[in-house]
Amino acid sequence: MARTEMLPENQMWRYRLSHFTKRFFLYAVLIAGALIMIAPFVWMLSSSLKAPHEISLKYIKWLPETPQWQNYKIAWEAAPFSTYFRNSFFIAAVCMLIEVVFSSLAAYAFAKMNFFGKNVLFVLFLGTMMIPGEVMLIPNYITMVNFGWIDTYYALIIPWTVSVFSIFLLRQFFMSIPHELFEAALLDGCGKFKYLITVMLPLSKPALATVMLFKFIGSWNAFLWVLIMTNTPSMRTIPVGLTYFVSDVGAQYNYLMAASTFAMAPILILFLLLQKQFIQGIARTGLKG
Amino acid sequence: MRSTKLVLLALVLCLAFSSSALAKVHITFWHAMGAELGEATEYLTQKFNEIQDEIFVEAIYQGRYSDLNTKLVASFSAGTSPTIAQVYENWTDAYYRYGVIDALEDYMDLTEEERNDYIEVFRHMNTWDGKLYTIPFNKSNWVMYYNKELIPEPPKTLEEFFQISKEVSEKTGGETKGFGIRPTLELFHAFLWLNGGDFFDEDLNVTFDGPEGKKALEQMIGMLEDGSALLIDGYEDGAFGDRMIAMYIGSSAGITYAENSVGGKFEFSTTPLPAGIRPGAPFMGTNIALFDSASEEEKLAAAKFVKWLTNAENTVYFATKTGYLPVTYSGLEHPEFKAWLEANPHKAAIANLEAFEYGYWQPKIAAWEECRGIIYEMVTKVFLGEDIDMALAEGRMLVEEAIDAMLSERF
Repeated sequence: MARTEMLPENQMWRYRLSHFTKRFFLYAVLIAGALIMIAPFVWMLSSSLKAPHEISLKYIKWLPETPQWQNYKIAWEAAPFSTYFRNSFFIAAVCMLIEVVFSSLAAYAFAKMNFFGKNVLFVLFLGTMMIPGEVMLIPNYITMVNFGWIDTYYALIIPWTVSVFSIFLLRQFFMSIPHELFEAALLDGCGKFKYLITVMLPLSKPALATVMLFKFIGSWNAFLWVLIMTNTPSMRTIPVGLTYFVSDVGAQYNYLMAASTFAMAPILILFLLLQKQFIQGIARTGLKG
Repeated sequence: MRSTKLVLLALVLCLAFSSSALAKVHITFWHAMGAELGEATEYLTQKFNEIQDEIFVEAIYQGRYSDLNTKLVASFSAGTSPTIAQVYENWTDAYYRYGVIDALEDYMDLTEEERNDYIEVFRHMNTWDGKLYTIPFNKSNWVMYYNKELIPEPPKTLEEFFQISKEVSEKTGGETKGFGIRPTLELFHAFLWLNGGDFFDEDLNVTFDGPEGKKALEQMIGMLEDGSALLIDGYEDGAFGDRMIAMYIGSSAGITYAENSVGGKFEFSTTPLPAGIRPGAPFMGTNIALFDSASEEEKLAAAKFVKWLTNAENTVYFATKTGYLPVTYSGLEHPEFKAWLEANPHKAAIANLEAFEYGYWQPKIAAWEECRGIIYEMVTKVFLGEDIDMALAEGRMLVEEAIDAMLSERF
């Protein structure tokens, strides 16, 4: 504002025009991006209300002729979804909470403590990320059988409470918080654990929110692990329910889309809630002052 | 005093419960039947549990076929195999080599008549070592779906088929193409077979790269090039229902999906595949296998269940609910099945008795899972424009490697 007020009339006009053009293109690109992102969701919603013969058409049809609201009811009843929902929520929430505790403690140690073999240990941790999960599925299954954990929540939760990726992410974030803050706090008589709780974690909200969101989504979407480790419907989760609608010879897309809609709703809500955290609490702002 | 009484009472109760539990043999049946197919499977299992009180069958849905296979393989090493499960023939071959399955026939106490009642082509598919190791359960055949409005008289030979496909495309100005091509292994196999070829000869030498294989690929590509066919991504029934294509080759088990996609917009029917140098009817679907980790008692109980599950009445129930085939001749002849066919003329090709005469199936060898992937990739490459000769030569090399690995490894 201050700058534009000082400009002569004609220059100001030019400035405004270029400002407007820039904005116009910026918004055009953003809107186009948003539309591309949102299109699959809109398609999912509209397909969930279609009759089967309206789904795969030559031309994309965005609105169903008559919304088939009963698709939701049929999809909901096709598999024991209320049980699946309860399980998915419980497992995802518990995994998320325990993981945040473990990851922040481990990441704190890797970021701020000095101990023998720290770097070697960290590299070893990272090394485990290189092994694809499928390779470990059968050995892990045998371990779970030996623990007697098949068809229990233990198998669905405990192996997933430690994530190297989260530790890595949090460690990187913790390392970006200046070490001087750590030293100053220790000089003032703050314990290491207290420092983590009262300083580090509140400053790391965005990273914590990211870690939590990843965990929740990962756990919510987990399919093969759940299927392999459980036998009874009372232990299974939503993704297992979604497979009911797809077979080798065809798929009931309208029901699948209806089920996908109610399956992803909680994730969407969680994202909207945590999204604030991404904007808030940026660590460095507290120090610039 | 009182506490002693309580303890005694508890003991008596425990004994009572354990003896009643002992009375029933508990067997587990892992399957991959979701939605309506799952309902039919669950219904039959429950019915079995109700009509007798010696055996309790627990049917457990284990996801799609690939998930079921993963879980079965995991269960072998962990010792948690089910009593019985749905299996494809190539899995059976692998399990047979691992030594983890038992021949169901040994436990079923079949008379010669009962044994021969299983349709011959299915018996071939289920035989190892001269025994019915597995029992056919949900078998399907591949048929030609066609739009009756556009094609009143379906093609009987490959030549007629090419002709009609072209005519439909021309007549509709390309709005509706004659045929839908999804570059799958199954479609390639169909063209290969109808031209007189197959994937392997009897000694497992690769033959699909011969002149028949080349001709099959050329025919498919040719249909796309001259506009008589449409390349389809995804299930064909959707494009069929939207009149994008007038014919496609698909599983009989997919007929309910076709009915839904067409949604009464036009009349359609099914017919056997047109004959090339020779006729052909591809048979697919899974069978039931018995795992050797079960006790003798459980094995006998499972065999009883499988025998009951495939009796005429039940195989007909399953077939009419799902679009799969009855697995026995008595099922095909069953008045209920005949009545159902009469009421559903568009399903006639499903139970075309002639087709059973010239049925063919995918190789029932352990390495097939890997070979399938290689051949599928080869077909896809050709559709993406790779030279046919080069693709076939590469495919042959990779498949030979997979077969060699299977034969040399002692599993």
